[in-house]
Amino acid sequence: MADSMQKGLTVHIPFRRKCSLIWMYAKERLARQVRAVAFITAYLAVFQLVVLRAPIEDFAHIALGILAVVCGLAFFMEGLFLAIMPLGERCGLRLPARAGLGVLVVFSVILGITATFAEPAIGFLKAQGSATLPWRTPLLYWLLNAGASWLVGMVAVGVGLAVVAGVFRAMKAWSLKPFLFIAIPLLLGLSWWASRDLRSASIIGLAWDSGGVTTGPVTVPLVIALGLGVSRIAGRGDETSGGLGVVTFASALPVIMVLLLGVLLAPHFPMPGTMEEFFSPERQAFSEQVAGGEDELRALAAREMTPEQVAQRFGPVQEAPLSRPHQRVQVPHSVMRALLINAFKAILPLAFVLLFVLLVVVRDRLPHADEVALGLVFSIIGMLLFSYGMDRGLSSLGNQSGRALPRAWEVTERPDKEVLYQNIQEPLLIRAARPDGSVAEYLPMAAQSGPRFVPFHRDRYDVTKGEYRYVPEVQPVAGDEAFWGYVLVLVFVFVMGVGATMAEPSLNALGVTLEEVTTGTYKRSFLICTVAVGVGSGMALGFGRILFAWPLVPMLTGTYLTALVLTWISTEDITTIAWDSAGVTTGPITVPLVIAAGLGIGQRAGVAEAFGVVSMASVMPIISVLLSGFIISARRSRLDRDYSAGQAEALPPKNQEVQS
Amino acid sequence: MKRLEASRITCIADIRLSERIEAEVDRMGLLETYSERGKQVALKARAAWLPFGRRSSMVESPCEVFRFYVPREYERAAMVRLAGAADLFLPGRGSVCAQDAVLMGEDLRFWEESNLCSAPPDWVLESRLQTAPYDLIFCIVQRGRGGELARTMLEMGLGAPVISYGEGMGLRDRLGLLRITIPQEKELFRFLAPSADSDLVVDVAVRTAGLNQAGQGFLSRTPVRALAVNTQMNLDRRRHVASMEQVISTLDQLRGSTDWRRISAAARRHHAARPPEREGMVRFSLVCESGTGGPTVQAAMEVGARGATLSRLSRRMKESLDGPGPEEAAMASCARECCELIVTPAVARRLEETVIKSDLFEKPANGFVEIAPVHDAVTYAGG
Repeated sequence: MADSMQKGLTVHIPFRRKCSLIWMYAKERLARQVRAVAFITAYLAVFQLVVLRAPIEDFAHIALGILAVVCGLAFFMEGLFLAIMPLGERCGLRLPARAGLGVLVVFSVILGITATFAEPAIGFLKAQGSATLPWRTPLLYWLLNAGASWLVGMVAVGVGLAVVAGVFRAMKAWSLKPFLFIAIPLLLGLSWWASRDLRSASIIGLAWDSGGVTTGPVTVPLVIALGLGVSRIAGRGDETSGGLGVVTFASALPVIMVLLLGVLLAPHFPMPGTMEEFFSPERQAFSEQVAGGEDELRALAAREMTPEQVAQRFGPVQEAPLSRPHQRVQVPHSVMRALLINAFKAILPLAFVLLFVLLVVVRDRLPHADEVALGLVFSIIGMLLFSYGMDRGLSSLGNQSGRALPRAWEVTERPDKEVLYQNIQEPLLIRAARPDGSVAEYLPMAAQSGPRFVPFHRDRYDVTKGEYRYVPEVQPVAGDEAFWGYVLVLVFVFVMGVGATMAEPSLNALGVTLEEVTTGTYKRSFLICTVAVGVGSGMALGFGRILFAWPLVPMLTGTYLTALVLTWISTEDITTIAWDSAGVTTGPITVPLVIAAGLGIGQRAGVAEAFGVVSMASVMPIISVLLSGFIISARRSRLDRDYSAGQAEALPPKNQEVQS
Repeated sequence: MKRLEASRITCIADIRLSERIEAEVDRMGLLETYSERGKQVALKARAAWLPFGRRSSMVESPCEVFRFYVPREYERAAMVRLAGAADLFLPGRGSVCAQDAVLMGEDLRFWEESNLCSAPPDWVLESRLQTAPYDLIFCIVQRGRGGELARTMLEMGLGAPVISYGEGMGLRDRLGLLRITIPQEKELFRFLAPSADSDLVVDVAVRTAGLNQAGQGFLSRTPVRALAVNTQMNLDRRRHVASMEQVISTLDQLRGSTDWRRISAAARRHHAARPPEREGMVRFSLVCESGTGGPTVQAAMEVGARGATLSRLSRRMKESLDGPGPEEAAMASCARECCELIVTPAVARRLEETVIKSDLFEKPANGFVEIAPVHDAVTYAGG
């Protein structure tokens, strides 16, 4: 009946007017994303060109990629608001009322597990642990390779339980604080327990980072909408704090699951040792277990040892060696095809679960089915364009900056400006003494401004031809002191974290939702700025850990204890916003840039793995948002005090207050 | 189908006072309350570093807009109790007003006669509290335009407006999939203006929000009886023992009306120059479970309604009420939506029949309808 009415009431609009409406609609959404991406793009380009003095390679492709990121984000965000979030909220509204508690629990578990498998974070975790060596960190290596399904499985169970816990919290209007005061000390305790054993100590960073990356750009808005729906139907407590919290659970419970897995598996793995021990015949059974089988062990040996050593240990090598674990596992026939498959995998399973529950379990009808279908198509197109653009544009730019970052503290060569000097004879060389007594050699060369002394390296001198290959060197950007170079890098990653967070789609979705439920009294821009500063600080701390080899567990303990103390004295609303923000910060824009910078710095700094950046980037926004809550409260109290000075009774304090 | 004549009480209170309001509603013996989240706005002077730019900023504070229904004879007592419980007579806390309404539905249990309590708290000097004639100006504008309108109202010095969020329904839903190009997010602007000044306020609001242009919004004016009105228009430091708002409030009480503070003697002359407006209209509020009002609104469009505004409500039931079993659990959903339609008397008769025939009162909507007179309405009339 409704459809026929709709048909009868349809208004016909001239074609030109339709085009004008569509153009205005698209322009507004594109402009929003241009504003979001402009800062990080301009920053990376300017930093590379001006500070690091390195040219931007492949400029045309990067520009095309950034255009694709902008279009992709516009499509994806629109898809979220048209389809994913309304579906999630409708499920939250309908399911508790029309289905039993058991169905709700099963649905939540399935949703959580589907979300994890739909947006697998294992790729990111593998990249972070790319430098992992099986003899130094056997358990970590196994979890990232042969045991990856265990890792993903435990994370999926953690996210599933998190959705159940979040939905129950929304229904019963439970406070988030008791959970935090139990879960975070438990996490820290488990981390401390794991750190006592060399075998399980290696997975602490992995566990904490897995908590940060489990919730992707589709899952976060979905579970937030679901929580708000359940909170609305329950109607207990305040809608702002009641609807949030699922993301917090989804960030904490996977860490607990992975740490438990590590602690339980550690006794069954060998202690860290040397490469020779690892490949020795006496430890073959253990080594095969770590590598994932005999063939994998042979391939590993072929990669790490000389052919003679491999032949001596395993006999003649026949098959081609496998690629390193951090390299791309396979090169698809078409990049676009692979990205399209990923986009389908990220969106369709979740949409299927939601539609199945709504249409089959609850037997509800979709009020705007065409809009939902269009939203799903937008989401897939958006994710495809966005992934392509990130791969070709922003990540590529980030990679170039990451590679150039060591210029901040070390002398680097410019092979692209190599000069070949001919007819060079030994007598031309000039020798000079260094303070330590060693001798440095220089080659005087004629230049327009007079003679110039070029450092002489014997390995680049061909005596027979009399040719010397001179590669110019670039002095450290921050001067001779490596410390100031490190400081420059930390400033770089701080601003990069701020810029990347501002463009994160999940955080934008959270900001829009918050603005909606608080009728604009908590501004989206305020949330994004506060979280961005937190992420930037966290990334600086995380990279500081890599550069200065700070221990991870004390850093996590200190920051999380600070967050808990601030939580104790904060309101419930600010607490839920702060802890949920932590879960949404590490999204598809921040993570590739973390990888890019992490690999660039980590490889030069010679660290075994670059874990910990994400966990630090997750905890610092909690602190920054909680601190912002105090500023808001203080400002509001001052206004009340100013106005009601002399009145007998000011407005009573209330926990559920959110203002900006 | 039951039909019930009642008074609708609208109480706007700072969010920090919500618990007091809810507790008082429970003590009064009311069974159901509906609320929506909003924000009260006020001006605060700010230092100007540059010669240009505004010298004041708008400060928003979250509030809750409660609505509930009482027998007409309890109207004043209910308002006095609420205003007393939350101290709404102090500027900045909130407002409370009442209007006549007719309710239609299958299960209209808003109060229990035996438990209704009308006695005000001991300390409230009830005899000195009088209601004053006000007009509730309700305006629907595009999201983001409410702030400008609020600033204008604050600068007129008549009171503090309240803004909440809603969605527009109507023309947009007739465009097919092209509807996504038109934002449905609206701002719902509520302003209590003294009746003596409401003509001028309407005139200014129409011009500020451009309501006489196509697609800019809609304004309606409903006569109400207000007991307490939030007059806190600025948050600057107080320099005297009583604020100007308190002085005005006291004079209102002494003079027995707000007519003495009419800001323009020429206000009524504006009436003739106003854009097309319709007098003697009727407001239909369809309150039902969230997400179920769409078909009824579509049916209303077919019989002549031009548009509707949807806002999200939260239903709160008295805790000691039913101990709901599985069957009642569905009925006990707290997520409600309110679709408001303002129509001419001719359309109202057809709309009433349409609503009765619709499934609004049955599961899963479990709704009811509130019908109330509207003084007049202003929107773009085409041409």
